[in-house]
Amino acid sequence: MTDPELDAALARWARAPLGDAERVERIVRRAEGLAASPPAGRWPRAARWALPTAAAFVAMAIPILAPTSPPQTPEAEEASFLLLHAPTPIEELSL
Amino acid sequence: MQPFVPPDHRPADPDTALFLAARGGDRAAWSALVRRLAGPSVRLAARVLGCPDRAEDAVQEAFTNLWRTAHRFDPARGALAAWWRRILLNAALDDRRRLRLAEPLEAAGPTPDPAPGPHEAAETAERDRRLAAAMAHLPPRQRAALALFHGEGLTMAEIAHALGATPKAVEGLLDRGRATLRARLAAVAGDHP
Repeated sequence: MTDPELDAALARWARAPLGDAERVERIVRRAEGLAASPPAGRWPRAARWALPTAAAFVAMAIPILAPTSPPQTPEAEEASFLLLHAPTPIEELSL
Repeated sequence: MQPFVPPDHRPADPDTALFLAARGGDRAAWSALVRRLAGPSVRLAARVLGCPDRAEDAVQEAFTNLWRTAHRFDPARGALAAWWRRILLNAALDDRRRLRLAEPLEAAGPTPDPAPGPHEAAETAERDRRLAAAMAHLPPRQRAALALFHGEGLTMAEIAHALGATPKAVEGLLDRGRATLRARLAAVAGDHP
């Protein structure tokens, strides 16, 4: 095949229609459905980093802003220990 | 006298104008654009992938990507045609599709020009059939470069933009593609004189 013959054959190969109207129609119908939802804009893209950043900020701020519990005295610590390790009454066990 | 049109509001080419309208919420514009693009896009994708079914998948994916990334299109940087070609070829040349072997487009292959006589038409048809078979042995990027050059009549720079390559690399793709085709066709001619 000469160069001009190859060029001509390549042009025919590249330009020949597929003759597949049904396939094209199927693609068109599906693609038309895309417009049912708005295209992604800048807002959702910004939200992708803004929301986690805001959440991280709130998580960081809570321990700072929340009221802290008063410091434990030795007496209070002992009372807590006794409550935690108090023997279980017999009547409760029998139930 | 021509009305004054501010530079930022110049009328764009039809596809770009339709896309901008669609992006603004005009569903009829989107439908019209899809109808304009679908046919030629399936043809190009089928040439690249060597299979109409895979071409359909690729075009479908490309339309989804076009819609999804609509806000990124900037008409000041170029027409929609170039933007769309790049999205379409990205979908067609996706690694998942590239891994599969291409088959010759027998059913959808080129058709001979009906004008010449029966003998010439038969010869052309046979030549086209051999070319379609030889095409199956080319890598998809070489097929894409050949389809864009011979089918769409694009310049090296336009093909380079569509393929995300340099014009020099495109020249290489075209040269290697043609060399492989010549070798394949010569081998077939040797087998069947």
